[in-house]
Amino acid sequence: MSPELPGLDRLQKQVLSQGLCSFCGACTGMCPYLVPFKGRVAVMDSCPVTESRCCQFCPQIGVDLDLVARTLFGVSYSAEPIGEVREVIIARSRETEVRERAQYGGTASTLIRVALQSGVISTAVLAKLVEGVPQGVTVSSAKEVLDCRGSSYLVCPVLEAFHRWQPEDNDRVGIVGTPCQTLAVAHMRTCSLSAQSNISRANLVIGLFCTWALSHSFRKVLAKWAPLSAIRKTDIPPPPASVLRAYTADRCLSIPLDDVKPFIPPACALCWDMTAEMTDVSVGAAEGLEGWNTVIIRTKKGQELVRTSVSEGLLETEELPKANLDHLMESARLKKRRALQNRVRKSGKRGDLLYLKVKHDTVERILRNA
Amino acid sequence: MVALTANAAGKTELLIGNEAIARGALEAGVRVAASYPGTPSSEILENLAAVAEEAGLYAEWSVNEKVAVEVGAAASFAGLRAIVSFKHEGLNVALDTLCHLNLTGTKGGLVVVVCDDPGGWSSPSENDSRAIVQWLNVPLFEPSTPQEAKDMTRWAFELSEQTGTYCVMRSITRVSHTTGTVVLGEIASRDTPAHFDTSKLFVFVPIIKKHGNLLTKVEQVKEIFEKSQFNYYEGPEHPELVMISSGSGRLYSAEAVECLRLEKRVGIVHLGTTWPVPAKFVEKQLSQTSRVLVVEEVDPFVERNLKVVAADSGWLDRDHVIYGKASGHIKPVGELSPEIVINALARLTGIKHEPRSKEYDERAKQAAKDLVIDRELMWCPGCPHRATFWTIKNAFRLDGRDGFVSGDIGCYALDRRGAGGYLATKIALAMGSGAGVASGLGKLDQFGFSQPVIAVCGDSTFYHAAIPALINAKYNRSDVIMMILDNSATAMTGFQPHPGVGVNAMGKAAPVVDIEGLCRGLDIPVEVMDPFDITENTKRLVELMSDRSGARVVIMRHPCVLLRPPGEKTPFKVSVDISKCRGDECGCAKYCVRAFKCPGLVWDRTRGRAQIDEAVCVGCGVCTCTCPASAIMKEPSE
Repeated sequence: MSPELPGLDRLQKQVLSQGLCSFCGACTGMCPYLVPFKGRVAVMDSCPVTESRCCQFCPQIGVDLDLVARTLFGVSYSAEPIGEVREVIIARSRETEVRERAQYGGTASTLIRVALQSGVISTAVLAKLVEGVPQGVTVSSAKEVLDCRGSSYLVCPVLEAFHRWQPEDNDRVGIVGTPCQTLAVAHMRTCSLSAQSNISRANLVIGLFCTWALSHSFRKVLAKWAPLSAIRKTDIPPPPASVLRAYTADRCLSIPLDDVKPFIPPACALCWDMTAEMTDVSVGAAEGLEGWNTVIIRTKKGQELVRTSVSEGLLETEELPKANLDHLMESARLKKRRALQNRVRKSGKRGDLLYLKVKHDTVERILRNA
Repeated sequence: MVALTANAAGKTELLIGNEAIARGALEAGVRVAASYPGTPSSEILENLAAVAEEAGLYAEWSVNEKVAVEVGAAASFAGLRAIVSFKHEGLNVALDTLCHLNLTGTKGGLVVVVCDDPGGWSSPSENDSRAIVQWLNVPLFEPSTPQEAKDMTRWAFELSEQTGTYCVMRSITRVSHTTGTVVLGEIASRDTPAHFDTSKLFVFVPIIKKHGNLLTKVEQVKEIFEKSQFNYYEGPEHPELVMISSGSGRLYSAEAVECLRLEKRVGIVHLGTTWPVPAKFVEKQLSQTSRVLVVEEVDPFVERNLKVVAADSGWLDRDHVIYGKASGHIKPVGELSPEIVINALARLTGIKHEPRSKEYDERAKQAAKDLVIDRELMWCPGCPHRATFWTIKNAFRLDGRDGFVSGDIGCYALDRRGAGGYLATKIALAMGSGAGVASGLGKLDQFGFSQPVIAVCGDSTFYHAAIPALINAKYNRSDVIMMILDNSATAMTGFQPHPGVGVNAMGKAAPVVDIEGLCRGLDIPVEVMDPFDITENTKRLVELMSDRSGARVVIMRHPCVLLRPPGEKTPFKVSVDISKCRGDECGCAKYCVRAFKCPGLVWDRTRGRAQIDEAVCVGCGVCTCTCPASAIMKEPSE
């Protein structure tokens, strides 16, 4: 595509009109042209800027995973199922107020609270449900983190809040996000326009495991059952349940996954990252271990944060059972393979993986291995 | 200028064509005048309304042209003289009545003035009214100057009463808005009381008989037109070519003859009465030449009718030819100009004439560049319509279902102008059609139509023709959001009062027809918004579009900025903090200047920042909500 084409036009052609947008918010919050609204990025006007941040920061356009991995971990991208790993453990919060409304073990909330309290960061960018609509918010106190517990499974433009944040002199920010959101953050560090963003203030990135998310139209399904503001938690229990559950204070709704899947955005089928690989530490469910999280520690910073949390008595950890690790690896590998197959199907060419830049032999290896 | 009512017969005055028509009506003793405003016709009623009390006549702005004709017809039925005026678009609206009124006949003189707009300078079309008048089969006049306009008007009343049918006068922009000398006549004193003679019927039945009567009247008129002073020849005794003209074509023809020095070779026939065609007069003119060039505005109306007369008389053959639009000597679209006629005449007479170069217009534009401000046709600064359409555009973009506006006729049609509008309007037909089309679109969901549509019309347009469409939407359970842009004015045509403003055409207090109450009376939900409240309105509009629940009305109410009295302070003092302004960088790219496009915002090329043009800004403050850096600030005016 012509480099002279305005960045917004490229974003529209390559991502938005192709159904590749994961609604991470990386292109929003910086200008009046792109506005996240009800689960999609609305283009408000045409913009003539050719070298634009919206286009550069989008994780669905030309992410060089090798460059990103070298920037974050100092090594080339390995394409291992769960990414770079220092340690994989299980953990759970020891903070009662966190665990009350936690999705699983409350580990992500406690880690970000500890990061705020210990001065690793002064601000955190989190997802929060506001009247049933997930939004990115910035918080600066551990108490505010409590309002952001749990998952709605709805796509959320978290990074809009990251861009809107106006830091003061020594402010450092921590971001909690899904694989697409944290990939965007990592990718931003490698962009030529990175200086025109808050990325240099990002001192901590906590990833959340994700298999897929849901578009906002799913809210209509939930709204038929209960006011959206009354839904306190949404969860997908491990197989063989095959349902999505939504909870109010006194009720629980089970929706068959087959009825839920039509609401999965097309971009999720192309995502090959289940465990948020480009982060300091990633947190997800620990299958079969209720009330616990699987935690993948990827960087020294992530490791120190976990240690601090444990030493302060706010987090407890244990070894991850090997069977769980094997299952995690297998699930992540299958997601990669499915994503690559879907990409090849969409592009029509085995060598064209749409926005992903990955070595050819790596692709072949993943496509061959089950 | 003396007052339009001055009884100063023989005095010469400078009048514009529309003033001359009003004067002609006064001289004829007109008692009732009705109109709906529209350029280039508005000044006729405005002038009559201004002297209504003094002249003892009744003048009204009717809600639409059809009603205006009916008001005029009522006066005629009661024995009074009446004049009805509107622009060519209005003829379409009035047609339903006019095409029965020709059958019922009239009593008091009734003159309908239709002002065509060749080139569509102030209109959505350049339709030629004359073919319709021919179809109506009523007498048609075409003046070429203000003097003729006055004299024809006066005479048309006489003819109307003599034949018992209404007469139509087709003016055009260059006659209605041309200033010319006019010799005034006596103002007739008519104090006949209005009375409807119940022994007479003004009904269209029996149809065959009435139709036959109409044809008889036309024959009677034709005989009268044969001797009309408005049809005449000027030129040599044996012209090699005759130019037959109507309307301002006579002046262009005279200019062409003079310019090419063809006075001894070319003659000019002016046809002031163009329907029914005075065949004998025309045959006489044809007999003196073998070549004819027809000069008229818009359609080849006279040209075609001449050909019929020429064929019937046996004049038309290989050696006797009629040139004009059909032959390609005069272009068939757009307004005439002396240059066009000169080129046609030069071509037919073999005179060498250097046509104006193609670059002439561009060179003229360049020459005038330093003399006039380069200004696109766009909404005024502070116009509530800009705020409304900015809201609509944003709501459509947020909604994401490719929504669009089914528009109407008024200042809001400027949305279609790229220079200042936002191009949300994708359909625009005629007055009231926005709602009608939206009513139709609102029923297409059963066929997969899912795009949101907002019907837009102005307050005056609402009264004019949109109400039936709204009732249609309600009755047929159509999903319609009808937005009425109530700026308390018929702004585009010059601020004539309408049923919503509390004043009538003659400046007297009048009851207000409440739009909101009217809609509620139809059991249609109504919301009233201030268009300047962009953030809230956008949010609400998105909600309304997502809820497909039948006909709903949104009234965007804010007075037209031009209604603000001169000298009144602006609501806000608006300024740009250039330290915050992001200019053309990523994150803004001149958003206020380039996307919002209010002429009060300008680009300072030196500093690369936006600034307020204080000479233009009227301090509405709407632009503050467009700035991504909050660099545009407003504070209440002191």
